[in-house]
Amino acid sequence: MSELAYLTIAEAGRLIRARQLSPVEFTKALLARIAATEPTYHAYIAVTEELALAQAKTAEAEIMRGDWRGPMHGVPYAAKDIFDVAGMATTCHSRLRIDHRATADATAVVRLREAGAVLLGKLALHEFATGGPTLELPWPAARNPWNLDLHPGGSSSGSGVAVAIGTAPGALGTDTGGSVRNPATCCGVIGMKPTYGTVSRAGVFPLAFSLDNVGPLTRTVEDNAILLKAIAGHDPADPASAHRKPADFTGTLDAGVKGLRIGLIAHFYTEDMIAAPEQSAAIAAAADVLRRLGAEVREIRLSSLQRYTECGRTIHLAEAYAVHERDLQERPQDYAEITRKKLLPGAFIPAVDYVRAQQLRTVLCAEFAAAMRDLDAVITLSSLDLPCRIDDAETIAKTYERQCRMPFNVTGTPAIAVPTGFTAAGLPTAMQIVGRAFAEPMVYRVAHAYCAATGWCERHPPVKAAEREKSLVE
Amino acid sequence: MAEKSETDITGAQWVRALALARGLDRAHALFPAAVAAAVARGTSSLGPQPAKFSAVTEPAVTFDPAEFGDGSGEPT
Repeated sequence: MSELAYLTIAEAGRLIRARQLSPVEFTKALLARIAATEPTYHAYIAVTEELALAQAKTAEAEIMRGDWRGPMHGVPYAAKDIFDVAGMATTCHSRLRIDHRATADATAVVRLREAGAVLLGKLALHEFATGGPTLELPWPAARNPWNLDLHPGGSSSGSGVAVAIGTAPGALGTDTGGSVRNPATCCGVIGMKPTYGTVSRAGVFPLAFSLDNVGPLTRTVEDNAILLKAIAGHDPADPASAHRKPADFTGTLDAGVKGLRIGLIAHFYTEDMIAAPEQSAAIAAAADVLRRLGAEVREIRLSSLQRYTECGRTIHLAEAYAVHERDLQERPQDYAEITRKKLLPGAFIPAVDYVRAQQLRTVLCAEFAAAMRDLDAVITLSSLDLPCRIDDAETIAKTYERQCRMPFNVTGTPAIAVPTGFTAAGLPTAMQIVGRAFAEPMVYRVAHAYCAATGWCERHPPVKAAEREKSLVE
Repeated sequence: MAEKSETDITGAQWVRALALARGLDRAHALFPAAVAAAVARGTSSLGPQPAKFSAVTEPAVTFDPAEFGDGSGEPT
């Protein structure tokens, strides 16, 4: 059972194509594992068992008659419950959306359906992709797979957890200020925020229009590239969708890093803010690994982390409030306290500050582009801290300010979170690898070389299952 | 000595006035502390601007990261 649970997308795709793995059996195994683990981990809001089995049967029949569609054909995945799936509620993990019913699939869901993928269900998140773990909501908060008492990161919390515990080989998340990379960091998996405009946001509930991205979470870099390939590409239904053909995300995965020039943005976490020693030590060791693999790694300087973060935060707050204003006026009590606290400040941001932040964004994007002119990629930390207790709202709120992810929502450039090791307490640490706009192949290339050299991605958390279902996960 | 205006209001009154102006009467009545914190956060300064910032810098309103450097990929 655990062999199937931790099968990668790439391996499963190859076995399915060769008719050595039945998509139906694979799907059934994952559905059983979901049933066994959900009482403990709460990664899923809704399991689409009937749909999943129907899609798996269709995929199997197509493949048996020789109509193989590609590497996602017959492969299961799950989506953060912020993506529309026709006929289902897009709850956004909120009481306000219980009665919602989507009339059409989000573009990313359509693309995966067309690729022959199998939707296992919809995943937990922070309310409206911005709140935090709380007992106030109609569904429980997802739990950190490495320590159930800890925060799994967010807002794509269920996406990180499901991938880490082997109840989905890949998942869709969204990232406005780090919401794919944070759960990837806390759960010890791979999370990619692609270049703004790479994946359509049509049918995805918005948080902040000019910062929102759809991104994949997976257990390997190769899987991440495969999943991104399946969902990327221009979509006229999204006004921000990039008018370009997606690059070949997998073609240069094995090219290595020898001769590459990699910048290290250390001042974000050694001067602007001070990171936990375990995170700093892990990225220093990661830089050494990249050097040993033949890359030239040197420190670079940008504007302060606070300047990037404040720019992004101002845009985020103003745009998110515009989305939620009416509900905050009419039914503020229906939001969880943590969500209200995060959304309400947007009501009071002066228009001039929003414009100033967008002007500042222009300056910061130009600064980052100039820094990248003689670099192939940069690395920096993802989270400054280790995951804190899931019931410690005050510390969780602080950790959202103590991160290096927002700068790359501001610049719109691709950024991937990859594990850099484990602390003595067994918690994952992580770094980000960042590239120029639309340079996802380079980001994946560096990430793949690093992960292959270190093997951190091959560790899985000790999965706890409900007693009655224990045999299903062993 | 500063002149005292007849319109001087307390912090709490200011928060209430701002909340009402934004249509947040209900939120203010139910969650006054959260609204007060939101006013403080929302009206806090964006901070000093970098040297290259100018008041006539074009804002990134229609944001296109490709304008700021291109890694790869072909335009369609």
